[in-house]
Amino acid sequence: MNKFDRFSFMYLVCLSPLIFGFMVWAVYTHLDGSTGSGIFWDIFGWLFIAWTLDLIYLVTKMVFSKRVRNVVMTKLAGMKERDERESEVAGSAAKFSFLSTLALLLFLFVFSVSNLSVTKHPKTLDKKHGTVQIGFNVKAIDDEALVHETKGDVESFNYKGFPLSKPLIILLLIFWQVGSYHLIARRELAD
Amino acid sequence: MGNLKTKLTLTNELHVLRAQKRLTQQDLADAIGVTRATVNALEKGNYNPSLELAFRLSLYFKKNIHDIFKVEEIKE
Repeated sequence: MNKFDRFSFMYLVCLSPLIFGFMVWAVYTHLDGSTGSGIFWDIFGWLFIAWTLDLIYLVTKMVFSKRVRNVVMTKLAGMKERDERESEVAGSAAKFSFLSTLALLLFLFVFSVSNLSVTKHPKTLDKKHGTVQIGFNVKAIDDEALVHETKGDVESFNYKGFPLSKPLIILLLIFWQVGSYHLIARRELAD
Repeated sequence: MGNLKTKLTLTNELHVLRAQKRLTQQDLADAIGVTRATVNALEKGNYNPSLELAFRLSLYFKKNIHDIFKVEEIKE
């Protein structure tokens, strides 16, 4: 990790308790929905903006930079590889984690695309008392995530989470898990 | 020669060799570049070392690998 990344990581870690503390305090002191004002709130606001931007920078960098990912995620996961035995243990634990996460992702995918509808009729309709419908619904885009509103002269654009639908995100994660495994395994086995 | 596809298990004399040199597990671990827990696992037979680590132990104790590690054949 370069100096800037190290500083970003330390800023994020050191300021996290302060940020969460202030957030809890702000929620409890402004339950009526009012917003704070004054120099204290200005400083907190700037710290919070810097912290959020830092968080976005680091999570994005972790996706693309192997070095940053290895350093940060190893610390976060508490992974130890000080000698060959610990590396072997880390490998076994990672295998268990990989397979169980894959199974969990498949479980979540199936349940996120499934539809079940049970209808009970008050009177017999075509000799039936009710209907049961089972199906699958796969939607790629979450329409409520990106909202563009125009109210009179006011135009607003709201980002409310990742615009892809839950099933598509889960499906992408499944493909990424299996694909990245095969990519690295084949590269290592080819040597 | 027996069936080489049968499962083999390794035993070792590390505990004895370490005692002869009056070393603690931590001393041995520091000397061969592993953690104390790994030395403990090796002595208990819970972990089979890599060829590299086996040679490091062999060089450290100035003994052949066969004098440190013994092979027991397990019938399937």
